[in-house]
Amino acid sequence: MWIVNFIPDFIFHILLMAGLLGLAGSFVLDSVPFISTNAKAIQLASAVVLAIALFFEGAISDNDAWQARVKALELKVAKAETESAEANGKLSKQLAAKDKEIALAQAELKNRIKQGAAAMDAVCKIPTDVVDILNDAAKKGATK
Amino acid sequence: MKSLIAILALSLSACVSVPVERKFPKPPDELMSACAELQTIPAGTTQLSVVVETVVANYGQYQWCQTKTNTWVDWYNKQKDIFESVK
Repeated sequence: MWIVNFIPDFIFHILLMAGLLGLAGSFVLDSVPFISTNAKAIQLASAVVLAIALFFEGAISDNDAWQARVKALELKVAKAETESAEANGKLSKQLAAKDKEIALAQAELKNRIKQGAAAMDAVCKIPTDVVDILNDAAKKGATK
Repeated sequence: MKSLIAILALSLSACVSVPVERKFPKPPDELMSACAELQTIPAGTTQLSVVVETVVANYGQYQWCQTKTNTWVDWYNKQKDIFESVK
C-alpha cells in the first residue's frame, strides 16, 4: 500500500490516539465548558479520525505482513538461484567428463584404424556408390 | 461526487506493484552451441580405412550430441523442480 509507505506510521498511531482520546474525552469530560458545548461536533470529528486511523492501522498491519512475505520469497528466490547455479556446475562437470570420454574413445579407435588400415584396404575396395550413399545420408535431412 | 473521490482515493491507496523479480535460469555454456554437421567421406575414396574413420568420427559426433540432448533434459527437469520449489 503505497500511501502507507509514503506517510510515516507514527502519524496514523497519533491519529488513532487522538480519535480515541477525543471520543472518550467528549463523553467523560462533559464538565469542561468547551467540551460540553461542542460535544457532538467533537464526537463526530473524533469518530471520523478514528475510522480513518483504524483503516490505516489495518493497512499498516497488512502491509507489514506482505513485506514479510516478500522478504521470505526473496530469500527463497536467492536460494533457488544458488541451487540453479550449483546444478549447472554439476552438469558442466558431467559434460566435461563425457567430452573427455568420447575424445579418448575416438583417439583409441583412430589408432586402431591406423594400425589396421593396410589390412582393411587390401581386403576391400569401396565402390563410389557406397561413398555417395554415406555422404547423402550425412547431408540429407540435416539442419542447415 | 465527494464520496466518489473519497472511494477512488481509498482504492488507489491500496495499489502496489509486486517487488519480487525472478530471472530465467541460464543453462551451462556447453549446451548453448549447436551440434556440428556430420563429416562426409572425401569424394572418390576407395579405401575402407578412410570410410571407417569418417563413420567412427560421426559416431563420436552423435554421442556428443546425444549427451548434450540428454543433459538438456536433465537441466530442464532440475530447473523445473527448483522453480516449483519457490512458492
